[in-house]
Amino acid sequence: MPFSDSPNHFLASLSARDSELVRPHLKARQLPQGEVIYSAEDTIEHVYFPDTGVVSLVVGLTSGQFVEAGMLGRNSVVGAAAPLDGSTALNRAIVQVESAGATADTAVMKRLVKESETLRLALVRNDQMASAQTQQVAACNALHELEERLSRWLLQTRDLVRSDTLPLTQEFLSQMLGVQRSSVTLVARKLQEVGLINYRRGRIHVLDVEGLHESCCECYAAINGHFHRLIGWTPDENAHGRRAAP
Amino acid sequence: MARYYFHIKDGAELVKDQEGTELPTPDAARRQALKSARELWANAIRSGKNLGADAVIIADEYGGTLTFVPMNEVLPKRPR
Repeated sequence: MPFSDSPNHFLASLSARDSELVRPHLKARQLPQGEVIYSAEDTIEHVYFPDTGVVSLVVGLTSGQFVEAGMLGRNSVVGAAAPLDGSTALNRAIVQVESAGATADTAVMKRLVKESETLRLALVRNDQMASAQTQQVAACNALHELEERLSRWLLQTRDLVRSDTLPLTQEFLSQMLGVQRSSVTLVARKLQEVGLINYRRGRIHVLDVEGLHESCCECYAAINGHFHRLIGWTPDENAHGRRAAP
Repeated sequence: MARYYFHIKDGAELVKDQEGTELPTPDAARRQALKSARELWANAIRSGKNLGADAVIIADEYGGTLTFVPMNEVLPKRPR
């Protein structure tokens, strides 16, 4: 039986044979908001396949500051490189929105990719996708305005959680975007004034998806292009039946 | 540690900080407000858009204003 009904796109895309290989080794896992799955230079002991929620890949600096370099959720795998002999973590993976899914031991996955070339290639493509995303985010962080970046970030998060209600504090948002909280306060006010979002303490409601597309930079579409080409994933219809831009 | 709120005064409007930040001392809160004000300038200069702020107001958790940092006091001084 393939995982074609799995909410996790990676598992759902596996062939029947690869599904048979992986399935016996999966363990259900729940991760609360704020949980650190791994930190830079840790050995990644488990590969995580999220069904729900959002995991941020963040880069920490010695000052204690950190900035987000990408996010993963039901579209992908956290730690895809680990079974490909890349089990030393390059960044920190932290749960941004409470997540449920499945894990498999890296050691087991290492053995399985030797048995199945198609499984190995699927992980390679997911690792490439994560790398493509972090490169796009690096360019975005360096050159785009906060309003564009925040809009991109809200759209990406919304695609992964499949909801217009995003449980996010401004503190967390400002850390992810690498800015002071006052900057987020002002930009959030602007987005709220033009009716794109509604912000209540600890919660952001997306009101106008098309409007957010207009206020975000090209990076949202570019990242989705990488998702589509490398892993065949496109954000789907949301709870209100509107379709995200291709 | 105490919770400090960084509201932004923009003309007659007060953009409220709804969350606040835990900081060890009033001094740390003032440094935080300075950093924030400088970053607001940087964003406005870079984007060419309105600053949207006259001052960053530091308030305590009971809603009382402790002090405020006017935006025009945080710019770097010109060397003589």
